[in-house]
Amino acid sequence: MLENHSTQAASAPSLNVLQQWQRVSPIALVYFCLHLLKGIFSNVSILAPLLLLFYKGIQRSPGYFMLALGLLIIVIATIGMMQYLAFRFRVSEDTVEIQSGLLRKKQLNLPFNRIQNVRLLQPLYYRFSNHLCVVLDTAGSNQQEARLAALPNNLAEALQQAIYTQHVAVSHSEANDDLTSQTTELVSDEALLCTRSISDLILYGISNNRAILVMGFAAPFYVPITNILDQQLQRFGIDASQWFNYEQQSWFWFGLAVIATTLVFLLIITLFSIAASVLTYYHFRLLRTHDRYIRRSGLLTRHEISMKRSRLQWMHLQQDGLDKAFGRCHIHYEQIVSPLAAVQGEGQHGKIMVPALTPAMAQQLLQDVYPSNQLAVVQFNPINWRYILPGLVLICLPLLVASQVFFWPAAPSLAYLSIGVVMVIAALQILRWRRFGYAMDAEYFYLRRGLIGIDYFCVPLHKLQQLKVSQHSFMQRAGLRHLHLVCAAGNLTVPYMPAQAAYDIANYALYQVQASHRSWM
Amino acid sequence: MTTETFQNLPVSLAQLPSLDTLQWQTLAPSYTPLNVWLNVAITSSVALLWLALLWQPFWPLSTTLAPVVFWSGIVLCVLCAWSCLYCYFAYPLKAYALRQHDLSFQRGLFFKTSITQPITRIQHIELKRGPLERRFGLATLQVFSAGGAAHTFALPGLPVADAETIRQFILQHKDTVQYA
Repeated sequence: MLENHSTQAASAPSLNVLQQWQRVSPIALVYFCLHLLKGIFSNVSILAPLLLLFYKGIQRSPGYFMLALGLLIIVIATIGMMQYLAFRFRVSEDTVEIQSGLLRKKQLNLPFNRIQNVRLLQPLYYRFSNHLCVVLDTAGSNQQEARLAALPNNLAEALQQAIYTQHVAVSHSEANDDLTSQTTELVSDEALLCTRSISDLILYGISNNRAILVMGFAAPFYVPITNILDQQLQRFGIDASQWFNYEQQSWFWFGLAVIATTLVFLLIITLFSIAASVLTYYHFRLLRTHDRYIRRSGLLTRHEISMKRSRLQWMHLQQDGLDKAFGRCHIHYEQIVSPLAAVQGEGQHGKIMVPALTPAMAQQLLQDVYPSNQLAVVQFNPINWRYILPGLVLICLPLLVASQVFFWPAAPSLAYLSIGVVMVIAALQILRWRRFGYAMDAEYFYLRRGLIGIDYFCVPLHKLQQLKVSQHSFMQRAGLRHLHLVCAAGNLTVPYMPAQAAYDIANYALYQVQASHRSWM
Repeated sequence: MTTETFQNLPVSLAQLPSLDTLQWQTLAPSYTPLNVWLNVAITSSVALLWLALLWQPFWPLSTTLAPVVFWSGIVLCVLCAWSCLYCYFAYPLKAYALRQHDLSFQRGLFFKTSITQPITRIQHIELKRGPLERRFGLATLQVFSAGGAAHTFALPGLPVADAETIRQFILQHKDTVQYA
């Protein structure tokens, strides 16, 4: 979006047209309605009974059902229309003012310097009319978000520029002399840090697919789905149900049928996941200006996320189980999250994620952000073995005893199986213990953790918000502590570490925060 | 932690002010009794409600419901009584410490926690006084950082004058960044 229309932005129109109270462009109607629909359908707890109701409804009385569906559409369109009409905004010198709300009127005053991020979104249906959706993120203990649903391209970009320009004027701009390449797009100092090719995105789609999750969520619909499938297949003269009838088939063929079906399901879901990955991250570009990181990507809806460099709280390297097989990892640039946003699934918006990087590239990106970091070479210290005790004593042992008491005389095979299951749980516990590692150098705290996959965190110590040291009576006797480091991006816990080491890290981190006088944002 | 990790530290860790040698101050003397009595009051009202429900003659409980009410009432009462006991033993252990640059609070009987909030990371600060706190001249100091609502630092059971003093100390601290 931005690349294509940079020429328009160059002859930036003045924002004077936005000085009067006004509505967003009428095309926003589509946006409001779709947003409402998305709100309804992204909520599983509403969606599941709704789908069930619809399914039953179609079966019983199609007429009434169609009526209800029509009504629903009319209601959504009306609410969308009213929201559109109620939403008015203006941009005065350095403030965005918004009036919105149907029943509860809201008035929002956003001074430019309180706007943390300006995100530009371009859904597919905006592309023909050259409109952008402008999302203004604000920081602070109460996160607010304002959306200008549709502005013409040039105005949206001019507004973004105006806000960022004011930021630059306020903040001390940092020197940047290590730019790798210069791109002449909107802002002249944009440096391209990273791009992702389609093959990278496919790898990301495969390794990040949520097949198991989808299959779990679909569980209530297995019976209707199989019924429908069965009917369809019978039309072609294929009697699928007899494949799965183990009274008619040998165990071998039955097993084969089950495995084949599972594989087909996995394949379909993985394909979906790949499609989602390509849709979201197509034409991925990570750019850096003198004070921001910018991510642009998207096949249908083009997204831009930008993050002020000073707002970056920590770097998070993530390598899931399958990523290890591919030798890839993902990097997250994480900034302040509000817990509310995380619950609403909006938490991702503030973050920049770079998918499917080779370790060397990840290292390069990390080095670009924190030049003095030693994540690649640092020696991680292990945590105490007592970490596994609660899991063993409170979960594994009761499970073992209960299963043996329950199964033993009647079903010995199940009893053996449950021993195996308990051993796997115990092994996972031990694996998790082995994965934990912490380290600190003069500037950064490093944490390694994970189970099958591994997560690495590189946290500048001066970004610390709060510190917590905790222990229970047994730990006290063994000289152990939990250390919790609270940052604006979240909370990192090092469990069961030696008390002395915990206090060393705590004292030094506090010293860094208090003596360096460096800002966290 | 091994020592080689620290080789390039500019300061010797041993010389840094240490968290494990804080000078803890106890909370207001009326704080623990107030909470114990509050818990006792809650426990007795729960127990009374339960007994009233069991013995009231107006709506006889069905045979399936009666044991459920009986046992859940017992569990509830035991939990309440436990919280009284816990309050009695654990609340006197609550303490806070104020240093030049940070504020600490510790609590817990079996699970001990101590939280330290650097003053330079404080976003804003609130003094809260419920009706009972007002009656007993107490106040709760709440300190908010960017760590999020789950990590709000709260200092309960302070005498009002002390709470005011700490609040003033934080507000006048040169590191306190105030947001409009």
